[in-house]
Amino acid sequence: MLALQYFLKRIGVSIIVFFGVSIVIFCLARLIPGDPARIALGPFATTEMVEQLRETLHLNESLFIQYKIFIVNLFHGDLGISTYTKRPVLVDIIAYFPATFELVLMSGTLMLLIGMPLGILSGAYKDTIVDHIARIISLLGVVTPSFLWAIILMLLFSYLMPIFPVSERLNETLDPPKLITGLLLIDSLIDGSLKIFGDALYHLVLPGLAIAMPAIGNVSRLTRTNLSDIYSKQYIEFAKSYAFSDFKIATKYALKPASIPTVTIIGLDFAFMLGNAFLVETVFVWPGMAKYGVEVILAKDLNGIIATALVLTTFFLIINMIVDFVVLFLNPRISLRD
Amino acid sequence: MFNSLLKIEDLELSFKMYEGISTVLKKINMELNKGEKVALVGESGSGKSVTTKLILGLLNQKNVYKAGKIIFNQRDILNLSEKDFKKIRGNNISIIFQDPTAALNPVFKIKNQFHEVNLNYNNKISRKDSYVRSCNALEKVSIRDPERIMESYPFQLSGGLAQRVVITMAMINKPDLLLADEPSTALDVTVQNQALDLMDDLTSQTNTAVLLITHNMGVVRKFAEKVYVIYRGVIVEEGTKKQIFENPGHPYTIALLNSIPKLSGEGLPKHDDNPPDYALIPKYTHKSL
Amino acid sequence: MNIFKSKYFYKYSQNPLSIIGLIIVLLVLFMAIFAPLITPFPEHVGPFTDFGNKSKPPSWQNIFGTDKIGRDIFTRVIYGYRISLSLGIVVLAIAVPIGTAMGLCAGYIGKKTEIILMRITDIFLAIPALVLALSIIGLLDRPNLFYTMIAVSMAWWPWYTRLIYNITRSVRTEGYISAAEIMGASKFHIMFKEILPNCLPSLLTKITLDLGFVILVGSSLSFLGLGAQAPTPDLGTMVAKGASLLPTSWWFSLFPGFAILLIVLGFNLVGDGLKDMFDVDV
Repeated sequence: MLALQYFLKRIGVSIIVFFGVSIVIFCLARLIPGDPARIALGPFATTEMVEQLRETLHLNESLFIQYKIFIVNLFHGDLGISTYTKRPVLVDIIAYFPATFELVLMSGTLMLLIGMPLGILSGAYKDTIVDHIARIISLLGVVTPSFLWAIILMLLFSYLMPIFPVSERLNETLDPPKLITGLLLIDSLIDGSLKIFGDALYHLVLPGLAIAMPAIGNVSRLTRTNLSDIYSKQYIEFAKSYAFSDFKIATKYALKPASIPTVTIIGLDFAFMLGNAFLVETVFVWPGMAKYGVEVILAKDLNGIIATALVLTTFFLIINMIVDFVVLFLNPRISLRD
Repeated sequence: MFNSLLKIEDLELSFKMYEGISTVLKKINMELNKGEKVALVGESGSGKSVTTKLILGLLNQKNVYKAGKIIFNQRDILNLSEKDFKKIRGNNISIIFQDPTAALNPVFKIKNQFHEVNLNYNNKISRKDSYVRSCNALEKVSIRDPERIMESYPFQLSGGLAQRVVITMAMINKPDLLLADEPSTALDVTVQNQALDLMDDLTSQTNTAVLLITHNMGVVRKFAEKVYVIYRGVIVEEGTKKQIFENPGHPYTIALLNSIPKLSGEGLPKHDDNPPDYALIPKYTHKSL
Repeated sequence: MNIFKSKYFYKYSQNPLSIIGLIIVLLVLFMAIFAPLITPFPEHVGPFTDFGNKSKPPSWQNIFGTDKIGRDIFTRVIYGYRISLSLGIVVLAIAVPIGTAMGLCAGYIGKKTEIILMRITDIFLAIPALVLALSIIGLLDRPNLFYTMIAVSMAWWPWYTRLIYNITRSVRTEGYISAAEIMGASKFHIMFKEILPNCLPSLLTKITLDLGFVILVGSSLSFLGLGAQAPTPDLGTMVAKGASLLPTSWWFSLFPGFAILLIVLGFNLVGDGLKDMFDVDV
C-alpha cells in the first residue's frame, strides 16, 4: 500500500537526519575553543584533576572514536553525567522533558484552536471589520517576542487581574499525583483527581499562550491567505452557483484544500515554539527541558547541552513526521498518485 | 409571453475601480423561451461571462453597480435576496464551466459533490438515496461504471469524462435554464462534440432552455437556435441561426464569421487591418419569421 | 529619479500599513544612526552610574525613566537599536550569501551536488533555530554580541538555501537558460547572471522580513543573557534585567520591550508590502 511505503521512507529519512543532527551537535560540542573538562571543574582544579576528567570523558581520543562512543552510549541510554546537576543526564531528561512536552502540546493546541478559527473568520469575512481586528491580533502575535508576551500576560492576568498563576506547574499546597508519565494532566486523570487536573491546566494556560502567540499569528495569517486563494478558485464558484451552504463552504469545501499548505507551516511553527519555550520557561519558572537547557548553557555543561539539543531536535523531527502524515491524509493527490 | 422563461431588459453593469467607472454591460436585451437553445457569442472581455454571474446573483460586491431587469419565470431576480437565490441556484438554474476539472473540488470525491447538488432537490435527502439518485443519472448518460466514478477524485477523470459528470450534475435536478460558460473550450475537439451532443440530448429531454456562452462560431452553428452577438457590452446583432450564418447584418458579425478558418483551402481568413469601432455601429435585428 | 512616482511605489503604497511600516523603519534607522545627536544622555551608554537618580519613573527629564543605576532608559533604548540593527545586518550579510550560493549550486550544478547540499540543509533545518543558536553560543567560551551574530547566522542560512533552491529549480527549465547553455555560457555565469536576477524580488522581500525576525531572535538570546554584555545597552538584556522588578518598576522592561516590537513590526509591514508588490511567496 502506498501509504505504508511513504511511511517507511519518511522514517528512513528522519533517521538519517537524526544521525546527521547528532553529528553536527557533537562536532559543535567538541570543536569549540576551551577545554570542556577544565571548564566543568572550574578555575581551581589541579592539572591532575583535569587530566583525570579528560580521561573519563575520553577527550584525548580522536573525534571518530569519541563520536562512536557517544552513539553507542546513546543507544544504551547513557548520555553522560551532567556537570551541572551532577546526575546522569538521562535522569535529568526524564525529570524535565515531560513538563516541556506538556507545555508545547498545550501551545500547539492553542495555536490550532485559536489560530485556525481566527484565520477562517478573517478569510471568510475578508475586508470587513472582523477581518481587520483579526489581522491586527495576528500581526501583533507575529512581531512580539515571546518573552514580551510572557511579561504582558503576566502583568495582565496575574497582577492586574489575578486569574491565572504565574509560576510552576502546580499550586504549592497541592500534592502532585503519582508519577506515571510525568504529564500532570494525564497522571492526575489516572489518579482520579479532577482538582489537580484543573490546577495543572490552569498553570498551563499563560505560559502556553505566551509560547503560542507568534504561532497563532502566523497560522492565522496563513489560513487567511490560503483561504482567500481558494475562494477565488473555480470549484468554489461552482459550489456557490449550486447553492452549497455558505457555512459548509467555509468550514469544509474551502477549508480542506486550504488546510494543506497551512498544516505544512504548522510543523515549522513547532520549531519556533520549541525555541520560544526557552524564553517562557525562564520567565514562568517552568521546570522543563528548556529551562534546564538555559541553565546548562550558562553552566557550560557539555553533556547537558548536547542532550538538550538532541532531545528537542528529535521531538521536532517526530512532530514533522506527524505533520507529513496529516498532509498525506488531507491531500488525496499524493496518496493515490503513482 | 407565456413561453418566455428569461427576459433581460436594459441590463447595465458597471464596476467602480481605482481608475474610474468601467461599464461592462451597456443596456443589453435578451429573451429566452422555454426549452430554447440560445447562444451568446462574443470575444473575450465582451461581457458575456458576467451575464451568467448576474443571472445567478453572484455579483454583489460593494463596487458593483447594476441596473435594468432580469425576469426569470415572471419574476425580476436582478436584486433578489441571497436567501431566495439559494432556492433557485442548482434547482431552477444550473451552470457548467469551461474547465470541468477546475469546477470540481480536488480534495473531495465525486459522490460528495453530487450529494451537495442533490440537497438542492431535497434538503433532507440521505447520503444513500443521494448516491443512488446520482448513479442513476450517470447511467442514463451512458457512463457504464457509475460507482467507480462516484468513488473517484476529480483528478482521476479525463477531461471529457469530467465534463460529462459536470453536465450530469447540472441536469440532475431538471433545471428550467442551463447556463453553459464556454463548455467545450478546455476539451479536445472530438471530445467537444460528445459533450455538446450530451448537453443537447439532456436539455431536449427535460425541455431545459440553454444559454450558451461562447466565442466559437462552430459550436454556435452546431448547437444554437437563436443567436445574440455581443461586442464590448453591447448586443450588436440578434437573429436565428439561419439568419446569422446566411445573412449576417452587422460588420462585427461578418468579421467573426470571416475569421473562421475554412477547410476548403482559401488560405488565411480575410481580415480587415483597420476595423471600424463596432460598438458605434447600431444593432442589426433580423425580422422575425 | 523620483522614486515616489514609479509604478512600483504606487503598487506598494496601495496598503497604508506598508507606508506606516516604511515610516517606522526609516524613523528607527534615523534615530539609531544619529543617536549621539538626538539622545539627551549619550554618556549613559558606557560605564556610568548615578545612584542619586536611580529607578525614577518616566518624567519630562527622562522620558522612559531611569534604570537601577540611574541611567536614562530612553538613551539606552536608542543605542540599543544600534545593536539590534547591526545584529540584523551582520547576520544576514553572512547568511544570505552563503545560503544563496548553496541554493544556486544545489539547484543547478548537478544531481550529486543537489543531494549532498540539500541533505546538509535539511539537517540544519531539522534543528529548531533557537536551539541551534543557543547550542552554539552555549558551547563557546564567553557569550558576547559577536558570538551571537555567528550563532544566529548559522541557524539562518538554510532558509535562504531552500528559497533559492526552489526558485532555481523552477527557473532552470526556462528557455533563456537553455539558450545560454547552448551558447556555451559557464555554469557560474548562468547561476549568477541568469538565475540570480530572478531571485531578487523574493530575496529582497525575505531579507526585509528577516531583518525583523533576526532582531526578534537576537533579542530573545540577549534576554537569556547571551547577547551583548554590560554595559552595552541591548534591548533584550534590558527587558530581562527589568523582568524581576515587575510590576513596580514596569518601565525597566516595557519600554525596551516595545522598542523591539516596534522595529520588528516595521520590518514586517515593509516586508508584507514588498510581498504584495512583487507578488511573491517566501
